[in-house]
Amino acid sequence: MHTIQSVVKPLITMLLINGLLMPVTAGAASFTGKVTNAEPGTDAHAAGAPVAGAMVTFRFGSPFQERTVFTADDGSYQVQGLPGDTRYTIRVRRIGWQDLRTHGQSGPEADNTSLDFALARHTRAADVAAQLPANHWYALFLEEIKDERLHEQMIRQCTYCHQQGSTHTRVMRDKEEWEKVFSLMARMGGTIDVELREQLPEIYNRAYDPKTAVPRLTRGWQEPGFMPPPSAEVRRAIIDEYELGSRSSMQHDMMMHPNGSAYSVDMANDVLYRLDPSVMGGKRTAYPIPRGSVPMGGEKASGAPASNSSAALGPHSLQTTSNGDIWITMALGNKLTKFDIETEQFTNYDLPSGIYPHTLRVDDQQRVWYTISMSNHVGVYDTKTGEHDEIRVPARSFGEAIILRMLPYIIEWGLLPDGSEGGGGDSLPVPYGIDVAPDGGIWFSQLNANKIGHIDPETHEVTMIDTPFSAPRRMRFDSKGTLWIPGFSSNVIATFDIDSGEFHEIELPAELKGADTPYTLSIHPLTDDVWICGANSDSLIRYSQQTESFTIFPLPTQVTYTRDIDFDAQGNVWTSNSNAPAWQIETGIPRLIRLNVNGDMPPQGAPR
Amino acid sequence: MDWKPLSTLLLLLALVACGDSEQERSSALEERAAVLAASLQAVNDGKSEQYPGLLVQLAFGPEADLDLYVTDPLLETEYFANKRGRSGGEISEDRRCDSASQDSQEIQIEEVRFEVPLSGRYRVGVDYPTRCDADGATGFEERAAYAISVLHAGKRQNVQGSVGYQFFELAALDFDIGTTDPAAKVLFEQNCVSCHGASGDGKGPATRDMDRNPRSFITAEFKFDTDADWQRGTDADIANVISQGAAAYGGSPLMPPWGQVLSDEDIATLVAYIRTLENQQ
Repeated sequence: MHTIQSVVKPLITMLLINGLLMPVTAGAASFTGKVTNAEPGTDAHAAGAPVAGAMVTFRFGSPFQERTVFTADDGSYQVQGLPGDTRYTIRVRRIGWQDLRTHGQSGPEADNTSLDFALARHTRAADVAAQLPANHWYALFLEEIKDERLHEQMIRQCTYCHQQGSTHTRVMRDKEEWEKVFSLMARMGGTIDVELREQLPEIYNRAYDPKTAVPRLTRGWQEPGFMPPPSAEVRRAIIDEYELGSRSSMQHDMMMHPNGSAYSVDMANDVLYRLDPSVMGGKRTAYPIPRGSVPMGGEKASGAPASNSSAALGPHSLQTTSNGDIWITMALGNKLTKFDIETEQFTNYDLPSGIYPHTLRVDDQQRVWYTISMSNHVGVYDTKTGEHDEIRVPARSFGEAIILRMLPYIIEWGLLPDGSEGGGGDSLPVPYGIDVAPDGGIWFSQLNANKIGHIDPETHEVTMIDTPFSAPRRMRFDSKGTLWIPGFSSNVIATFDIDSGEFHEIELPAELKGADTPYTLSIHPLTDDVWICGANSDSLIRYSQQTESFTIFPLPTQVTYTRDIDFDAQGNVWTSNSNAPAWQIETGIPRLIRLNVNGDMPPQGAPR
Repeated sequence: MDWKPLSTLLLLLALVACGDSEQERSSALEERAAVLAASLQAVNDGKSEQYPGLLVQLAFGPEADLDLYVTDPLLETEYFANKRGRSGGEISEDRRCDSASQDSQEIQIEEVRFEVPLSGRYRVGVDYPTRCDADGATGFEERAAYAISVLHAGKRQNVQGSVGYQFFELAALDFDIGTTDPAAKVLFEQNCVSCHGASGDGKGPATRDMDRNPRSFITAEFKFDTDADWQRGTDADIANVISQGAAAYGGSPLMPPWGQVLSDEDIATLVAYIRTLENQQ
């Protein structure tokens, strides 16, 4: 006999799944109010005057979700779609003013709570300088490196795990301590050559000396024109941040699945996460990836795993095939792994011989193409036939080709370069980004070799092309078949016309110029806009092909290392904050971040 | 043709062939580690074992520069480049090759102190970044011996071993603190188990009629930032929820205020005990 519950519950579930009844009713709570200057004010910022462009952040839940909105010209803000009858931790932030942190309580659903905030101006320039994103500080550092080659090497090799110029990297150290830091970083992959190593200790200590840096960074900070508010267009945006993982997590890559959930891989702890944003606050599910017999540190263990990690597999990049399976590269475990979202089971596929599977993409025939960074391969796994191949891509010299072939033995015998000496910074070519052209051709980049390459998907014939800029990283095709490439160490994005073979470079706008690091770019499927990671500037950057202009969307959390970008079905932009180590991130735990550009989030915060 | 990589490789291969026998090296390292452990003990002898906090020491010889890494329950690591963590852990001066004469047998000691240690799991790592014995006279070029000593609550735990050159031994020692206080366990059983369960999983016997389970201390996803310091689930937050009840912070009234029943000391003891339950499934 069926009870009423047994009949009604499945019915409600069905309605929820079909979007006919939202999981949180449309009467979710909201807050409105105004942000003004606190008493007594200053000459330039009178008490009671509106503060435009302040970020008002409401945190709730556990693990938390934070929703941030910007204040308008008149200082007003409005945040909607929050749960009713809930206690919030609230932060109001604007560079030049002291952070305001307080609590607030929402009323019943459909209720609006009025909350005004008065922000006090900072009184010390040093406090203002400390609020600036890392790229401001890093620009002072980079201008000290006069040699162009070393300048480029510094950005490419020292800014790909963590920001440079953040508080944790602005520590004064003696020369010997810096040497030890460089040695440790070299064993973690960040090799730089001897000449740069000799210069850096003095440069670090000089460039980040507060006595000289603070006055330069905060010139005119008491005037209204200092760090002006974002444009009205940017201030329409709503930013949702979902805490994900732990203080030892590195949420390396993320993707939006057709089922509406975000999936992210924690490279430091061998976990695949699912975040369902249709549930208020975000429903998180952790899938620990079975390690089998792979030891901590991985199959080809490096000399220096991260001190707080527990990684054996090192999940790195993930994409889905048309049947919903998620495919993941296990960079440390040297495997390609399938996750069946129905059975929630993982299946591993060992690499034939390559080392360090990196970034993957899926073509129309459901073949998984992936770069293999250390051994200089591109791999391909046919999910229909199970055929698994590796394509060795060209080295830069005969000597390098020999080294690459010997690499398994070099690693096995512990003969990798000594981290206490220089490593050259570009010792391996490093196949990196990869994408599938509309015509089915496979295109990839070689990060350290400053090349892109084309692979014929049927013959596996490889053609290499030099890039006119350095460090081509994760690239993507737009709907018209133009290849877009970020120059990680060259402060540019570039287009490549695969028919004419012509490059066109566009300089990134983030001030101070030259100190941002575009790790990834991705093409918006609805607009063809190019979205770029402002990995060193706590931002996402949009380039409109239509207007040929950039728009910078600042993100609220300090040390937001944006590493990957994807889009949901509603057009929202998603990224991950994956600074390593996570303890350098404000609050210490990574986040997945959703940017709703137009601020048209449905009331309950769920996808429409 | 670029022959440099190839010639470097050949040179490296030649060096590999010149090693001592594995067995001889192994026993020499064991002896060296034992000497270091004895020396460390001698240094510590006569010093108070009643240090109220947590002290982690790494001893090594002048033949190598080893580095101590201590990862605390907040999963932040205190080491030479991150001298003070959010947990309060602080590392002593970095000891390097030039910190002691190689002619003397003076041992080098690095230590991390936690004046008020958080309960939970600690991981001790040892790195061997730099050879100090340039001419190889000591025979410890490829591996270096070490001794570790942990002092907490009047008890010492000692470990000895060796680590390869340019290798980071991620977990030379793991240990938990705060799990052995019997008074805390009694306090927890008397006041918390009915709802939060003996294991702290939030499924105690009184939860059968509740519409949702109380907080699990195993997953330790603490909800409240009670003091608006933008940190959720700190010791202060847990203590405040115990003292004032969850409803005071927008939570369930089923978690009542215990401030009238338990002393501040009892609550601090419970917070420490709750910390030990994290990930203990």
